[in-house]
Amino acid sequence: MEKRSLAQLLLSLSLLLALVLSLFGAFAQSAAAAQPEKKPILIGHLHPLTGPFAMFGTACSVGIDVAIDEINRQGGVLGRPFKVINRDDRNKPEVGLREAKDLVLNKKVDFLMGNISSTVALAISSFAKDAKVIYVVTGARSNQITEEKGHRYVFRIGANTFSRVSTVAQLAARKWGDKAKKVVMINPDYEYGRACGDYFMEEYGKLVPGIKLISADWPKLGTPDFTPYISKLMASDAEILFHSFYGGDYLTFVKQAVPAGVYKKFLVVGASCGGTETVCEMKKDDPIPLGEILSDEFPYWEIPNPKAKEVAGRFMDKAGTTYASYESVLGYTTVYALRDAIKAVKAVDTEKIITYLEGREIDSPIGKVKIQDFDHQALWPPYAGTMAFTADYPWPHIVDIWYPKPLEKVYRSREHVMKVRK
Amino acid sequence: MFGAQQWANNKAAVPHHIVYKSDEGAILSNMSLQALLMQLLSGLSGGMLIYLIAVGLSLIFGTLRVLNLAHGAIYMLGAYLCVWLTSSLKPIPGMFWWALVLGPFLVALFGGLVETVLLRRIYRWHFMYQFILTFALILIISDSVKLLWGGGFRSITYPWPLDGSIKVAGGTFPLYNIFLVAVGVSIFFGLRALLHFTRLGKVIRGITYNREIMSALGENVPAVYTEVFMLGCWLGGFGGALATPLVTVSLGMDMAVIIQCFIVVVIGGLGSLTGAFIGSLILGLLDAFGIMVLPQLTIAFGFILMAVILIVRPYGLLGKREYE
Repeated sequence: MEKRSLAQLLLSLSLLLALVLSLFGAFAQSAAAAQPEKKPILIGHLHPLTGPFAMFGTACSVGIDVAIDEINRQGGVLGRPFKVINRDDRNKPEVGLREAKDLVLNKKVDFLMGNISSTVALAISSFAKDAKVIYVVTGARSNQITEEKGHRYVFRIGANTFSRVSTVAQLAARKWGDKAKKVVMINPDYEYGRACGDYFMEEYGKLVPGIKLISADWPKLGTPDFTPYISKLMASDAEILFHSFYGGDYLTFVKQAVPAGVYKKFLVVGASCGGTETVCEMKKDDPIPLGEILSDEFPYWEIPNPKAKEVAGRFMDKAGTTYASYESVLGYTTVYALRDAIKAVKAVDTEKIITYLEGREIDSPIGKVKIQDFDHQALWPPYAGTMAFTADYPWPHIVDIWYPKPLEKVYRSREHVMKVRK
Repeated sequence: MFGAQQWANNKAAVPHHIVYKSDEGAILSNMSLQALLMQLLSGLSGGMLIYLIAVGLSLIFGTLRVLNLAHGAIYMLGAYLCVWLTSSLKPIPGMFWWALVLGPFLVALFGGLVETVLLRRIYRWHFMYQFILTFALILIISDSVKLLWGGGFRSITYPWPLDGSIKVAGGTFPLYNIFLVAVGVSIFFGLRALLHFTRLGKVIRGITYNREIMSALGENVPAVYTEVFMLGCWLGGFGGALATPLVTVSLGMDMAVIIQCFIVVVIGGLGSLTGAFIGSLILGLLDAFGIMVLPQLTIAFGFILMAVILIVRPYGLLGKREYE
């Protein structure tokens, strides 16, 4: 009997000891872990990484990676490195929302950023609002994101649809206003195309009195054959043609419209063709939309700040391409803006970072860019210029870049934003 | 030209919320015969492009009773092969024409592989498995294309000697589109001749009519199935290759086209080759003339037509009643 109780005592003692030891060990281990390698600051990056829009997601990733490499080589911020988790939203709102939730709830990311599609961006934005996580939109362009559906946690570093269309409309009015009053439009039939059409008539109409819309066509996205539209255009007596094609639709339209003489018959204005990743496919002997007014958010070949070209070179090295994308520079700028904000407020504190960024002039490869305090929209210049083919680049690009100064002129005012938010 | 003050003045002078309405009526009343002819030609060429793709879908369904959801992906594969061959072997003159021969041939071989290795195993099963298999093929082909040729846009221009345009009744029209119409019509008559005047054609028609009897008569039905599937894929790939000078080759180009194809075969009758031809013509002409009258509804033309056909003649204009 006694023997057994002694054995029991020994057993329970050793068990207790083991328990204490293991607890202590775990404690020591976690203490040791916290000391040398610091927890990284996590950025959740959402973009299409497969499918037809993957090139934009990949380009944004390149900018983020270049920025993170640079920052981490300098020791990160507050002694902590940056780390990005890339997620494929497959250009679908429900997938984007699911991935955003997973990033915030399970991966505990500190920030969300990215997106080319406005529909996906709006879905993520409403979640970011509820979860109180900062979400920086880079590629999506709908004004709704920062205006009607804007809130404290959503930012956009990049231009928006209105600013792009307003800029090209103003440049067109400066150059051609006195001789181009009869307008024809052709826009893809969805929210972006419809908004572009309305904004152009509004902005061009302000500067050129007596304009008249002769016809407006709405082909669906991805139309393979524009021939019926082109023959209809050629039969009209208008002087100026506005369109909002981009990407594949833009290349298809140009390929069919240039030989048909559309660019000879009309003065052509486009909202934005989708940047260098679109035009890089046009070669010297192809039909080129020479003289067309277009906007581009990163025409690094003409931006006076020398850092633009230098950073563009880093993107090209990283991506292995012959061009640098506007998505790369927006991703790059976003990471640096977050780094600077964390450094200034000395904490990864969402509320403090938002307050810091509101109305702040952030650094970017194109120079200082102001973030408006009332709608969190960066005053990114939507450079407009005319398409040309120069000896320096193997693809056509805009030259003689111009944008209205101050930039507040092409972004919606505080009054407007407050009115539409009601 | 505009100073800041002037800009502000202008802004103040224009009342907000002007509603801009386009004046389509005026265009219509000024419509000349020449413009109508241009729309007719545009409609024909657009229709023929869709026909070249849709006819393969219809042929495969008519004989194999397989609705190949991956037919659009086959079209995309043809387009990518054509662009790749043309641009990687650029120094050879007239490479586009060689690519036009070689590309669709490779697509047909791929089709043969798919039929013998995959499709053949599931003919006896519920048709749902066909959907699952062909849908999986879409994903496999799309991702393989991305792996092989990347996610960017690809484009080639009109090939010599069709890179010019011709004068038609005072207007200019691209020569390549005329060529498309000619090819479409030739393929239509070529297929008719194949089905009516060759032994293979007669066997195909027999199998379409009754597979068991043809098998009992000693015909090698599985071999004919493979041949028909390869022919259907060749047509899809050929359509893709022919489209490359006109369109931008990129991922996702298949989706826009497969929907058009479904509309065409629903209008014409699934399985009917003549139906596909007529359906394509109707769709092309409807698009071309529709945009002159009601440009706001462009996106809906095909669907409205399809809805009307489904109500009035659910089996299509030239289709056969099947379930009665």
